[in-house]
Amino acid sequence: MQILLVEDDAALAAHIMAGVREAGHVVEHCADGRDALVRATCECYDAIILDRMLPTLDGLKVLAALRATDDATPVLILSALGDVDERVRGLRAGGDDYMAKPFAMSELLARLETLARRNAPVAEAASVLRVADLEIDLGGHTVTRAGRRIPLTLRELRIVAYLARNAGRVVTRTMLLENVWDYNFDPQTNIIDQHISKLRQKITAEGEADLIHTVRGVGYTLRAE
Amino acid sequence: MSRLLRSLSFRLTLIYAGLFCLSVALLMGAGYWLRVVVPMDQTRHMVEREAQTLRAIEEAHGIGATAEALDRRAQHSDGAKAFHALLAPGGHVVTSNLPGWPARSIERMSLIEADTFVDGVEIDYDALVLDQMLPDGTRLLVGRDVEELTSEAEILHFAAIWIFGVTVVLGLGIGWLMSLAIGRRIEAVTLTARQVMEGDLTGRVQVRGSGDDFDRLGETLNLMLSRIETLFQAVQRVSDNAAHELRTPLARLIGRLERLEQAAGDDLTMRVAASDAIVEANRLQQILSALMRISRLENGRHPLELQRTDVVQLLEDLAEFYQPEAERLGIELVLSARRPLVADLDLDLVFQALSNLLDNALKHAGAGRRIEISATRRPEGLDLSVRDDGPGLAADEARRVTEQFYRGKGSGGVPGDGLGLSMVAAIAQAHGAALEFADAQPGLRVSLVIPEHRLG
Repeated sequence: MQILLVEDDAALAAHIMAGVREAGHVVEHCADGRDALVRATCECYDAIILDRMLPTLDGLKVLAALRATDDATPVLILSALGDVDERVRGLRAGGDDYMAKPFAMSELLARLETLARRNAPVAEAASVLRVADLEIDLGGHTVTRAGRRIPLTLRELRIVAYLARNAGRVVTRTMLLENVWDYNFDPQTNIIDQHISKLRQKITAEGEADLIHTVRGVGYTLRAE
Repeated sequence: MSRLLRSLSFRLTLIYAGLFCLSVALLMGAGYWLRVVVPMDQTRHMVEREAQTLRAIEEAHGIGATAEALDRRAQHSDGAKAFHALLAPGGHVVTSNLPGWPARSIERMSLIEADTFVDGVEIDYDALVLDQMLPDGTRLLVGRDVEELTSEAEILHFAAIWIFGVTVVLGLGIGWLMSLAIGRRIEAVTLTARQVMEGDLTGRVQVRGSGDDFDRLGETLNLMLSRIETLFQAVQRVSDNAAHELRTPLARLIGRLERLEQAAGDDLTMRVAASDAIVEANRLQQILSALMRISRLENGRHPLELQRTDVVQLLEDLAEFYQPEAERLGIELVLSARRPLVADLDLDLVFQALSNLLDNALKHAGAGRRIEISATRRPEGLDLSVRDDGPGLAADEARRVTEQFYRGKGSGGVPGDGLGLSMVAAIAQAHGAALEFADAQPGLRVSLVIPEHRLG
């Protein structure tokens, strides 16, 4: 993937670039809002990582200018302003995702992956998702595995659907919380793990392979093996 | 009603109307005294003097001389018309120009109607007559016309009723208008103060520019508010900068630790040490963002986004979210709320607050306990409660649990940073709600009571 990183803190930028390169992406860096806008409009990127507080031009203004030119490049806002209403403001301004500093590299990479894919012309509207022998019918609200119907609650259906939509990619706990629950909040205890383990029990029968894999310290991924 | 009675405007109106009526009454009283009482007294004295003189004549010269003197007096009376009647001891009228008199002497001054016909035309007279019995049995009545004074008094009485009525109405009306004007300006100051208290520091008292007392008060208050705003902004800038300055190095720290973890390769000890350090750094970051969020809520910088909420749905979502954890701990989670229960709430904040309360209950109640989440409408407002039958909370602790970083005596070994309830308290304050801790006998009941008028 071709990624533009807009971040004025040199040390943090170096760290992000190293991480993103390691994950196999091509990354360009600029430290200034005006410069970022020029580059983003001239070149085509798969995703932009945008800091909010920038010299010369504020990150949200860069974003607004970009969206005004009908540029739909996925933008991940990265900011020290981490409060819920700041997050909402960032998303309303046209951001596709919002991360507060400090963050884990793995979280950033996981989000970048799903973001860039959002822009790809995949059959997003597909009402049936398949991963290995697991079949999720979104229209009919049913989940079957190897022909066996699995009774799930609506929330569990949403979790498994989100995992399936991002099959093969790592989904972090906060990504699950943001996308499956309709509240912007910060649970004190990590309850997401409990939900996943319940779900795992339900969709894995005796002798079947576990489809939900735990990625240590990062999150989960749904894949055949 | 009692608020009306206590209000300054109402009292001012009454005091103004009262004083206004009093001054008008005094003025009318003075007029009456000058126009009626004083001339009447003068006439009385005159009549008394004349009666004395005539009595002396009667005693000295007999009844005939008195009759002559009376007739002369009636003919040559200057000023008010003179009236008299002289009755011999037997009751025989010697001379009289009064149309009538009481059958028996009343021995004092009285008013006698003395209308007279002159050429068939009736002329109204009111005679102030001194009626006296002389020692020899002769009855002497001497008087003067006071018709002008009595009719004047009548007019004044009539006028007094009207003037007084109009005065009361006028006094109340003007007083009401006056106190309305004053009340409005006081209200403006009150509204501004409230606006500032609720976190909008840009609120200022409107100054009319007339330079009156209220303007001066307003200007002084505005200066004070500007000063507060400046100080407040300075504090905010410092804390914003501090948070920003802390976040970025923390991000770098986590970055470096992650690289360290990767570089460790197969060295398991190194990897574990690095990942533990990352966990600690993340905890630090969580505390930092919780602190920032609390401070934003406390000083009203986090605007509430009220939306019509199905409260029961909110509680169901909450219970559902914590259900797996409750099952793991062997705790029974019960929801007690009945639809329809709709209110305007900041969904995310209320969910956060209840989530913290439920999280606490799950951590502290202990295995095998029962936790009830309930929503009821009380007269004071919407009551959202989390109740457990665990060990409960001592009264002296309940006062302190919302302090930042305070951890209860029984929380040793329980994970947490002592900010959960501070956050709940800040969210409650932002909603104008009360956070109540009650002994559930056994256990603890924590309620968030959100006043309905705030819910719109």
